[in-house]
Formats: sequence, C-alpha cells, structure tokens
Amino acid sequence: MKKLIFLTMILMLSCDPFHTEFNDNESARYREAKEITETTENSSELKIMNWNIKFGGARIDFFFDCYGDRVIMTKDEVNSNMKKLAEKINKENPDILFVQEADINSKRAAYVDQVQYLLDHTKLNYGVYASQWKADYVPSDGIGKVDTGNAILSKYPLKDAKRIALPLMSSQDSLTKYFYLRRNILSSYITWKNKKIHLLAIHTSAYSQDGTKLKQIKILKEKIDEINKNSEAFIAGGDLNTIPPKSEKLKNFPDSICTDEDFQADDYSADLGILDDFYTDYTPAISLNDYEADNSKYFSHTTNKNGFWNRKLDYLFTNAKFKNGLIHQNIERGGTETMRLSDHAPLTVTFSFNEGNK
Amino acid sequence: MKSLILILIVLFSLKIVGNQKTTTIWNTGQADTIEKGRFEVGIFQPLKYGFTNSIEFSTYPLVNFIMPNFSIKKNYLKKYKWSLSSEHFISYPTLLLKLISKKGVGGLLPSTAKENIPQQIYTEHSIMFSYNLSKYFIITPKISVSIPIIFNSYKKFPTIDMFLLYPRTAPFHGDFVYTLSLDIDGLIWNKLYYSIDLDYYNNLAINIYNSEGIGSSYEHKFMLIWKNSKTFSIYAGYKLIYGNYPYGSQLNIVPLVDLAWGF
Repeated sequence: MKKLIFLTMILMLSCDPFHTEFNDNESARYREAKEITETTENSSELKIMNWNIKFGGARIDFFFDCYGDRVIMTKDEVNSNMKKLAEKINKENPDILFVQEADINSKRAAYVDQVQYLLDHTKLNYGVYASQWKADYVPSDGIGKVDTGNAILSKYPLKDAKRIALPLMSSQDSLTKYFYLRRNILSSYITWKNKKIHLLAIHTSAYSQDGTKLKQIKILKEKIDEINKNSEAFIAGGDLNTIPPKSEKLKNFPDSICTDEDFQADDYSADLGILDDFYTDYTPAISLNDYEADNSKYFSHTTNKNGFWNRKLDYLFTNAKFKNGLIHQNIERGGTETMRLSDHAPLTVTFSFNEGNK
Repeated sequence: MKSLILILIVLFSLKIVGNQKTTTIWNTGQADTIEKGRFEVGIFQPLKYGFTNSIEFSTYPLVNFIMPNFSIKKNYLKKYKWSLSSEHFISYPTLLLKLISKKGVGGLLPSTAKENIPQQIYTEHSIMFSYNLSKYFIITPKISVSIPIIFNSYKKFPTIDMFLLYPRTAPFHGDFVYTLSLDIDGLIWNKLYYSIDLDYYNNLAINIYNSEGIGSSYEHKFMLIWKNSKTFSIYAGYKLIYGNYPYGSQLNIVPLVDLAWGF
C-alpha cells in the first residue's frame, strides 16, 4: 500500500501539479506603472540602486531567521512596510533599481504585488520580474502559495527580459527540491544615449553547503564576460550571499542563531576567492580598497533587528564607470535608518559610460 | 516524510477522489446504495457498508485517527429508472487542523494558527436523484450543503488557499458552502466504465461566524473504471479545477488513480 501511495505521489509530482518548475531559459514578466513619469536623457549619469526588500517583511521576525515564528503578514503590515521602502526609493530617485525578494503573489505577503506597488509609488516606470520561488502551495511551515523573485525597475523601457535558470542545490531530497527555490539571473537591457546597457540581476543561494552558490556566481561571471567581449556596457549584481575578498570576519556572525542546518548561512570560508575575478576584471560599486580600509562601513545585512549590519552581501559591478558607491546604513551613511526597513541595506552608485562602450 | 504521506492520504480521502458513490456494486455516482452486507473500500475512497438494501454507512477509516468521520446514505425511492437518496456526513476536523498547523514538512498552516483553531463539527447534507436511461448513461444531479457548527468563539486563522482544499476547508472557517453537481456514469465496453462529474462550489452567504466567504470553484472529474470483478476494481482519470482564490483565479489539473476492493 505504501508503494501505491508513493507511486501516486510520483505521478502527481511528475505532472508539476503545483507549478513550481521553469524552463532553462524563458521570458521574464513585464510590468508598467499605472502612470508613466516622463523621463529625459539630459544627465550624463544614471543612478543605480540595489535592494533586497525581504518581501516587504521589514523587521518582522520570521521563522527562517530563527528569531521568531511569523509566517504570514497582514495586508496592512505589507502595505505599511512597502510604503516605507517606496519612501526611501523616492528619496534616492534611482533611474534603475534591482530588487531581490519581491513577492508578487504570495500568501506570506497577503498577495500584494510588490513589483507593481513600487512601480505605482515611485518614479520608476517599467519593471521586469523573474520568479525564484513559485508554487501553488508549499506544504511546509504554513507558507502556502508563493511567488517571489528578482525584479529590475527602470525609468526607461526594459527590453528582451529573460529568466536564466541557475543550478539547483543537489544536497536536497527530491520532494524538498520540488518545492524549493529556483535561483536565476534576470537579464534585460535599456537603451540610453543610443547605447545598450545590459542589466543582470541575481540572488544566489543562501543556504547551500554543496557548492551550488559558487556555480551560480560563476555563471553570472560568464554572462557578463560575454557582454564585455562585445564591448557593450553592463550593470550586474544583487544579493550574492557571499562576502567580499579582504573580509576580516568569515564565520560565526553573532546574529546567526539558527541551529537547523538547512537555515545556516554563517560560514563563508568556502567562498574565498569566488569574487576575485569580478573585482579584477570589472568596476565594483564599492572598491576593494575602500572595503579593506574599513569593512564595517559597507556591511549590508543582518538578521537581528536589534543589532546592526555585520556583513556585506550586496553588490553591483560594471564594465563602464561607477562612482559614489554607498551602502545606506543609517542617518549618517545614507540619510535613513534602513535597519528597520529590511534585513538588507540598499546600495546606490552612479553610472556613466566608458569611452570604449558601444 | 511520514507526516506528508499521512496528509496526502487525508487530502485525497476528503472527497478528492472520494465521492465515488454507490450502485449495488461499484457505484460511481448514483443515488443507489450498496447492497445489504457488502463492504467496499479503496485506497482513497471510503469504507462503505450496506446496512440494509436502502441504508449505507461509510467512513474514511485511516482519517478517523485524526478526523473522526461518519456518513449515512438513505435511499428513499427506487422505481423504474428513478432513484432518490440523501446522504449526511459528519466529522470533527479540529484535531486534523491542529495537526497540520505545524513547522516543517506537512505544515499546511503556520504553527501559530493552532491556538486560533476552534472546537467544531462539520456536517454536509446532500440530496441526489438518479435517472437510469440505459446501462450506458445514468445521470445524477445532486445538491449539497456544508453546515459548520463552531462551539467556542471563532478567531480567524489562515485559509488553505490551495486547489481542491480551499472550497472543502472553507466551512472550517465558518462558511456555509453549497455544491451543485452533475454526475454521468455508464458502461463503455465489457468491464470498462466511465464516470464524469461536474461540481460547482460557492458560498451560501450565511454569515453567522463572521467568515470572509469563499470564492466559487468549478471542478470536473473524468474517470475510467475497470470493474474487474465483484471484489476488485481500478480507477484512473483526472480532475480539472478552476477556482477563485483570495489571490485570483487559477486552473489546475491533477491525475487520479485508485484501487478498490469489495467483499
């Protein structure tokens, strides 16, 4: 009888009844603001922003961080948190925004479409979105329906948006893998001053102990190398879930209190060297020299709402020019107390073309 | 893993593959009851017992450990080509709801929902009417009403916004749900039979528990049945669901497989 139940489960899963799967390459989803804000190309620079917005969860203690047991937010909570995120984005007024952990149709975020919310409440006009975790129902921890992922929002029209699938974690059993996150690179481009700027947004595995994260980062490097070969400009980055070279602390962060192995992201020793080529070949938003001089000024993540940012996980790179890179940590550094808005601090940088960019 | 299997058994037993109503033998949707003294049971179908030639008892045996349940079906009229029955189902879902409010795999609800789940009894009452045009075509319209009885004061807990389960668990949140069904059954060839049904779920707009009210849901099932003998039959088919959920509407299809034994 157990075999029969198992066979029935396999049959069900083989048909993807919960719609969790993606093709290796597929189109991303396009969105537009309700009202398009007119944009001119007068400036010679673009302001770029990156932010992992924790699905509008702000500093609510969710179960996966092991600080609390919350799973689902109310609509009022989500809208209130999204309003604060939009206020900060409006204050910075970026031309392009990379977002990680944007929920568009999840039970935990009261089914608020956060990409559409940000488009409708900022001066950003166009959005593209690629799911990294989608299921009609996740039968675990009361998560239920989920659709969350990476987004790129822009004042300029986004074109040819693709979702490029990244390798899945290999250490999980097949049932967990079926319902688990499917990381991706969201790729698109804008045309600005008659030149293409390729945009590649990524959010790599946080909890992989099996080398999956390293493979995912390597694929991003291959993609930007291809673009660079053609002398076209790119901006790439997001939440890489790894720390930079020259980091003083590699493990045992004080905010990591999970004892469950599945939720541990506390030891980056195995990641050493993975970002070296990015820093050598391209321009980071935060230079390695600056970071080396004082790691703490560039920390962008902590799970402890009562602590302070204690590691840098968020990045932007380009093969053009970057200047004024800033992690918005608090009033002194960025003008806003961002600790209460998400478990990641936003990163901004100013972009301009290199002479060599086609 | 064990808890997931357990939950799958429960989910399937809760009339997903269920509702395989009885004829005299291997009934798949008609008003007739099972013959006196006969037992029928499937992996996902209830254990049925013919108490008399017009009264049938049934229960989902495995589910009883976590959701005690019992159903009685009474045939009132069987004349010429007509048959009229009513069916009354009662269960105690509180235990099951608390069991699936948990951390980890099998947690269909958050663990924090447990404290809000009330003591309650779920009842469902149906009237069905079969017209036997020929052995190839038996048509059965049916109407059902789910009546929740919630004892202590109702506090909101998250709904299960999942296909199949959403309309079936809505009464646990205080919704009075009605179902309109149409079953068509018959012989194809030799021992091969078919069963087609269409179901429509909606809210009765009775709001004594301050429930939010479910959206409507349409379901269609097609099954091929190999009635191998009086003691064994095989079922295979699919279920198509178009539901309106708190997040919008969605179409799902699931394959169905079952084995049943009679004695």
